[in-house]
Amino acid sequence: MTGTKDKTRQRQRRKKTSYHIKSTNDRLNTFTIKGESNKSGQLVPVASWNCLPIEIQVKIIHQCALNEGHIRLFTLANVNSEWRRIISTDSLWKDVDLAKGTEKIPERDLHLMTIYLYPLLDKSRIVRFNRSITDQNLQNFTNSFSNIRELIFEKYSCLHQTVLLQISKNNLFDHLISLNLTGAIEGSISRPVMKAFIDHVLPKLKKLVLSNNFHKLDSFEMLLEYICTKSNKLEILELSNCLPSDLGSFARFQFHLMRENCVNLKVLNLSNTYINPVPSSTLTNTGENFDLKEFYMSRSIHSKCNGSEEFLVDFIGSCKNLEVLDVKYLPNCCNFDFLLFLQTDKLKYLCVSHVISSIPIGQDFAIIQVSIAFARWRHTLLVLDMSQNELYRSSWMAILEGLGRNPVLKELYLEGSNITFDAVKFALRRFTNLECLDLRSCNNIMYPKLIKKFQGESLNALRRQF
Amino acid sequence: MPSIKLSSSDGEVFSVEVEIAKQSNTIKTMLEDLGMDEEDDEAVPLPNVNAAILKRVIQWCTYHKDDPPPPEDDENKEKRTDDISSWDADFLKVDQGTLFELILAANYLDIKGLLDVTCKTVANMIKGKSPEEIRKTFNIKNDFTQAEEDQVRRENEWCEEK
Repeated sequence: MTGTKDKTRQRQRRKKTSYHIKSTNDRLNTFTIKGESNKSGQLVPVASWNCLPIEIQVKIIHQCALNEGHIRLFTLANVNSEWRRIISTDSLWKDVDLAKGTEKIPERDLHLMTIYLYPLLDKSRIVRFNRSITDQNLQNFTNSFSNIRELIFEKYSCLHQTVLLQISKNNLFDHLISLNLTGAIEGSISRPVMKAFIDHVLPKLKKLVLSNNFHKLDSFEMLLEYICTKSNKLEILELSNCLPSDLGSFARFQFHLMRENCVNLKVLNLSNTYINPVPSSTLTNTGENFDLKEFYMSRSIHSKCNGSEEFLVDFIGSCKNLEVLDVKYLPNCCNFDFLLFLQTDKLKYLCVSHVISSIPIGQDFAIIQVSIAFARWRHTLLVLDMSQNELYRSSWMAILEGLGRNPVLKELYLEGSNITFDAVKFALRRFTNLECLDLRSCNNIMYPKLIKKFQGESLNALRRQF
Repeated sequence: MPSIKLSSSDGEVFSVEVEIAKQSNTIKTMLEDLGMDEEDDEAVPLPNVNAAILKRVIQWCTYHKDDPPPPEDDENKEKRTDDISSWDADFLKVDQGTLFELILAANYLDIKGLLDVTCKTVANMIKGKSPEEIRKTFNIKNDFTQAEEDQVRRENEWCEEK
């Protein structure tokens, strides 16, 4: 009985196998024609470029574009007619990198580039530029096509603010959903330009990066206000380094409105952009639908501002799926109790460095609470940055104890903190998954050999000592 | 550890742990479709891969058996070729014929990780080379007529290094 079954199976298998042979590319068979003998005198085939199936050749050329930028493909087109055909394969031009390799093209050749390149970009969805793009050739670009979904201008472009006007023109960039202009604009963005941008582009966007540009306070506030009240499509918003501290101005930030309206927002970066959080008196919404995953606000609130913890808890406390929180330099905090009011139990990355700069007085009762806050994240927290904090020894121990035995924690930064030797020893014994421990400038540790950054092998060696 | 037998095009039979062999989607599908079990003695025929190459492929799969499954090609993610591990780089220090045969084998056996790293290696060989140097490296014939060549050159003049 079983014998018959086996035979049927074998027959089936042979059938299948022969199918497999057929399905492989015909080119496979061509490489057996020429060959050379190995030691035992058998003929072994020698494969060459020409034996590769066309899709593999495309894959390799695609890799070349990733390495050296898409401009390089025009050089590769000179190899032979087959390479020339490969270069115009649609799939190679989906995500186009015109940032790499374009610096060396002289200005006078840029218009030729527009003629030959832009027709190929017809099907592109993502285009990446650098400073080789000028206002002039961008004009040609914007008139050419409308399939672009994502437009990236890499840092150090020197575009005039009118680039925003061009992108804002009616009927262009109909499919644009992502715009990255980080550090790309020379000078500041004026109010009328920002207005056009807000009216015509912003409502379509799912992702907007305007970081590292110089903004005027009034136009920036207008942008922020629009986003808070109307941009319910936005998923990623990066506005870091927009109003640096030395300007001394703060953008009014109606965070209650954002909490109510920006229900799709997942990533918000306001680091190094001074904001003035303004609560709303009329709102009843509890922010249930506000669901941030990543929030960065390092150095966003002026050191003279009070109530930064209340703002934080009010704004993101109810975000149950928060994974990344960076509140470096949160001003005027005297303990980490605000962490208790965060509802997330999914935190992976927490930066609370430079928060508590002098040992708080009379905080002993808070210690147990700190422990509870960290206990919730022992199975999720991978990176914890508590550099430059001055805490009671008992607070340090409470935090470390809260993380329990064998937490998933991989990186612990304690640089410049007042953590003590026995607390470090305690952490080393319990945190078995640790891969990086930064103890630089920890002057409360009495052993100079320990005051450095431990990673990989050096950390293992340290662990063996205890 | 359960193992299966793989037979190369020139008839050599290799015994390989099932878990290692399953990095090949082609073999994995065969095993699943045909319900092959461990005590099955017959070797799986791989008519497109010779013994020398199959041996190397098995060596690669053995080293990479604990790797997480390769991510699907993500168009948004930038991939560069400098992420070839030093083990892979050493493994791929082979003559060009062997390299291309490894690509063909990885393609036929559907081993994504091996296909990626071999293709990246070839792309690295192209890096910085002129069309003439590329032709020489891969023994590719220039099939342009003089007129065509002039035209191509004219079209691409602007992006040639000056």
